[in-house]
Amino acid sequence: MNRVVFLLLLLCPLAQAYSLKPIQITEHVYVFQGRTEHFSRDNQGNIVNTGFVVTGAGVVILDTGPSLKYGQAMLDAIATITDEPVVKIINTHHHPDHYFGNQAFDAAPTFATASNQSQMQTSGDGYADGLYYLVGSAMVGTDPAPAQFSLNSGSEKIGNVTLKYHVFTGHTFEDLVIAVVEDKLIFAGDLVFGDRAPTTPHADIELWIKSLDKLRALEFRVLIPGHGNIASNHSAMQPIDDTKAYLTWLQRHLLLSAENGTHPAQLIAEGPASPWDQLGAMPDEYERSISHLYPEMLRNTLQAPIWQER
Amino acid sequence: MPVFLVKTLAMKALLFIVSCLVGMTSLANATLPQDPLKSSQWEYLVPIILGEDAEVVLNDTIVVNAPAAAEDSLNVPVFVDASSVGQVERLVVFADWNPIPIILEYRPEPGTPANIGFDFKVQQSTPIRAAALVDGVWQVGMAHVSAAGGGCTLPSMGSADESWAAKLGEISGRTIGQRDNLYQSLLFDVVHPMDTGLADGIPAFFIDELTLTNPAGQTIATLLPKEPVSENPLFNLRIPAVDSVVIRGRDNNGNAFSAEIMQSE
Ligand SMILES: [Zn+2]
Repeated sequence: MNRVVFLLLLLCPLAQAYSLKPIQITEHVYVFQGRTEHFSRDNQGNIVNTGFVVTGAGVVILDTGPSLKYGQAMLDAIATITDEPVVKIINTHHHPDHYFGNQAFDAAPTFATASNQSQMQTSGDGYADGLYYLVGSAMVGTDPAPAQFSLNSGSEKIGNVTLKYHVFTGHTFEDLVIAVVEDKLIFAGDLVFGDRAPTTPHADIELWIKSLDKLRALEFRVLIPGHGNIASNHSAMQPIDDTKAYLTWLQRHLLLSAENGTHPAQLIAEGPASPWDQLGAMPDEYERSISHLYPEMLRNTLQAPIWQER
Repeated sequence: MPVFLVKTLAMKALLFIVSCLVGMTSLANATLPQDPLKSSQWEYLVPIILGEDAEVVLNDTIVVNAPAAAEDSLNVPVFVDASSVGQVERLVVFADWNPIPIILEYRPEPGTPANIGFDFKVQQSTPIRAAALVDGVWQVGMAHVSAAGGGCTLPSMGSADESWAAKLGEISGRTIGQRDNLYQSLLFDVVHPMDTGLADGIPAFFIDELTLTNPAGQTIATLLPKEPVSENPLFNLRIPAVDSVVIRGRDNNGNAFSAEIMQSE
């Protein structure tokens, strides 16, 4: 960030919580791009890519950000682009930065796959506690609003736009990917991270890698990752390949370390290897992944004793 | 007010009164080095945990590895290597702001390095100290963990599920490193709920002693875990190379368990 801007921000702590700028990506699709960082007070949880589709028959929202205020800022920014009303909100999965803004869109129905709906219902309060702790005042007023309706794989035409829904797995149990067919655009959710370390709290790495291979086979020219840089044309596959390369390394590195009996705190102290240490949100996400994935791998290397009494 | 807080406050008040009666507080703190982490608990806890007239020096060659931010407040990994300071008699690891500060004590026998890895339950952001007693002086290394917390006042998973009872005290493990090496790593876990007693209606139930012996029956090290050690504790120790290790443990309810871990091929 520009130093002068940063100083100004420090001088005005009561400034508007979020200044969201819609970036037009294709004819119908706009994106709000978040920072490639982990949650902090400084970034107010604006670390996620959300988007909206101006269909000609209303606006469809793709993910709603980390807080009520973020959702409200989305609405304000959308009003500068179109007069069309919001007609539908879609959440790609149950992680809080993808649906905590739902609360701001009370005039239109919210959708997610059935398993994500129930995850939102059971884990929302826990996530809220976590985000209030990490992000602080930007969360004020946020009350998790789980998606109201379920959505499956398939497609639908809204106005001039065909939306195609693909349900993958790996980042979470069900990861929704939305294709905007006419624009040859894929809104990939958290299956794909661009120059930003993937997050793994509910990940199955092997399934995730298989999903990335299937995703790569879809037809598109532009890819919006859940977090990080947007990719188009000749480099549209790059974030998919980068995400796969990182996950492959992570899985292998953790399995080898477990075989060597390395303690998780030692792994954390060593930090991620090059070039992965250069990704956004490092080393935070690597440390979190160790906590999510490594204890089970380490325990799996243990053997039964030659005798025991109890 | 939550029960654990009442208990903690009552405990603090009692300790304060006792220390005032003994009249040692001012003396005890006279030579205590300043806390680099600037915790207000430092001067208060050191006399209680390490002794009223403990001689304390800071030593940053004592490695204390821990995550800067705890992702899982029930399982915060810590690895301590105090082998740089010579033969350690006692290694006490404590977290200033946990309602039960002492996490564990490790007593390596001569020839056994003071290296130990484990996980603990964190209640809130806190310094973690590793105090190694060498020739009558406590050498202290430290780290800081920030945490949203709650780990100490949550019930164990086991206490919500009766199936653990059949496996209580079950040990699995292995050694890492060739037989002809001087040292090897010993990795083992024990099935145990390790309940702190701070969750409503669930009494403290935890392993309080583990002894490791070699095939000749000599003690390699003794481990004295406290309530904050994580459920189904997993320990990582560095020990002199042996053909096998016998682990004997007991908990505060008198359950005893033992097992022999063979040198892996
Ligand atoms: Zn996610």
